[in-house]
Amino acid sequence: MNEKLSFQHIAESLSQKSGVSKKVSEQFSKAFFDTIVDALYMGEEIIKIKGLGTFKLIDVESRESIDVNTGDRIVISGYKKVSFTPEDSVVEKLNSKKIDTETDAIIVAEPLETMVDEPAPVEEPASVEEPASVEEPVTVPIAESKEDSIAEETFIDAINAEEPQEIEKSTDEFAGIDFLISTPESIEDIRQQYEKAKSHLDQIVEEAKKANSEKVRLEKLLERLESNSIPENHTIVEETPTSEDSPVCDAPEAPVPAEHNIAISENESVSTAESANVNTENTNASTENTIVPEEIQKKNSVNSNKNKTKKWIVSVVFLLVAGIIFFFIYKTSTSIESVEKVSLAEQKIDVKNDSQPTKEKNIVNPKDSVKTNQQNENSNIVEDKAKEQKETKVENNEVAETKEPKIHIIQRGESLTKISQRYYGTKDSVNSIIRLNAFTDPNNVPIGAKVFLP
Amino acid sequence: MNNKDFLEKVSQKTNFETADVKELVNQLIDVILDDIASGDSINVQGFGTFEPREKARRKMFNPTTKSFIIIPPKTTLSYKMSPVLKERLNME
Repeated sequence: MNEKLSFQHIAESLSQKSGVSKKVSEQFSKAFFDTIVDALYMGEEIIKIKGLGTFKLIDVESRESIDVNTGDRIVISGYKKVSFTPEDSVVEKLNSKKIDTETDAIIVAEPLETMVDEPAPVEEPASVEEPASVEEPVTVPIAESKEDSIAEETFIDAINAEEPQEIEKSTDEFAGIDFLISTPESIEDIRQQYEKAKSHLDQIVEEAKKANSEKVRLEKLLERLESNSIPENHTIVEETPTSEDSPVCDAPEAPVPAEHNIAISENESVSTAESANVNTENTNASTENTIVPEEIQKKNSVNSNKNKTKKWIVSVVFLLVAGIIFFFIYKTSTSIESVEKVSLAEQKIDVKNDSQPTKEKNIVNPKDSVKTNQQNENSNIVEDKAKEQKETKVENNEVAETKEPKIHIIQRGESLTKISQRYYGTKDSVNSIIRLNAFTDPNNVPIGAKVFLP
Repeated sequence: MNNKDFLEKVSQKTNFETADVKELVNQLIDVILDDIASGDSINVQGFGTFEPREKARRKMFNPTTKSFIIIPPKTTLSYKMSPVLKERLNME
């Protein structure tokens, strides 16, 4: 045990084991180790001996160090060394033999070792968990609120696919929430902010639902109006069976009230709801006017020739149908026609009944009011949504005809060229927008900036 | 140099048959390992020292299961080359 055995000892035990003479075993053992040394000396890098392990020749590079006594820097020159890695079988053999011989020692040792080791695994998980529990309240509310906001956005997107401006404003509000979230100071603050944001989101959800129901109602109203307006035209067609002039008369007559409506609607966007009522009255009056001369024509024609009436009816109905189709195509291509105006006017009346607040408030930038307080926000949201529903319909007319300066709020991913393209149909008006707004850097306009449109 | 080359070289030196050399090498290794297993160290002049080395038990963290595994203590065979060999190898 723990003895330093010499080469001679090994040779002796080898001779005892193998039965060869002591001299031969000594020679052989010497040859064995000499072979290894010679191989290493000859530059053999790896020597594998089955059952023992691997000898490797390793180059140790020269390195700098400090003389412990003098403190000077010295260079330890590189050298070659021999490393040895025992085979797995060797290690197994050593350990199995150790257990065989020293079982008592291991049995005594084990309980002691378990005593030493047990506290360690208890400490480590605790140290791991503590920071995690601190971090969790920080990360979780933000993630949840972001998810909420994402869900919110998608929800509103789905609702207002037709109304892009509303989406823009809602995203503005979320930008505000992000701002709240992005400046956390402590966990409590974050929680408060989270609760605020959540309540805010709930309110927005309610607003969106209200807007949605409102929209559905408006759409129903529109449908009803359209269904009313189409039969009216048909009755007119049937009432005027004789004259070829009637469809020709009908077509030019329609645009005339439409122009009136445009003029009125321009005033309307600035004035109150009463003008809208007047507008509808005018349109009704104009339709009545169209009917009156036709009735006169009808009476005359019916008296003059009854024989040809049936042929005329067929041809005239056909022509009228063609005229109506042309009329509707004309309506969709240009935004100047009467039917939509009627529906628009109706919408406006409806909206104004729902939300009394004036439009002038809405013209003021909504983003400022969003950040002041929530009550104002809510009222503004209602106003905004009501306004947007109107604006999206009126927009085309306004852009084409009114020269009032409009305000656009830059969203993420927008450029001045896109805005120009959207409002004016060309990219050429970018320069005029830039001239009007006097940007510091027209190529990099910050998100949320107000852009005055010429 | 693999085991086969090594046995050939030894047979060249000793003028024994390689089969006999193989047998003797195995017995020599057995002798060495028996001595090492009993806790002795073997010093061969001009070659180096074989020593049993105790490796203490240690804990290892398994990253996939995220649990600590206790690796029991074991004994390995360590080799340290002799100063003579070192000198000889670094003569140039």
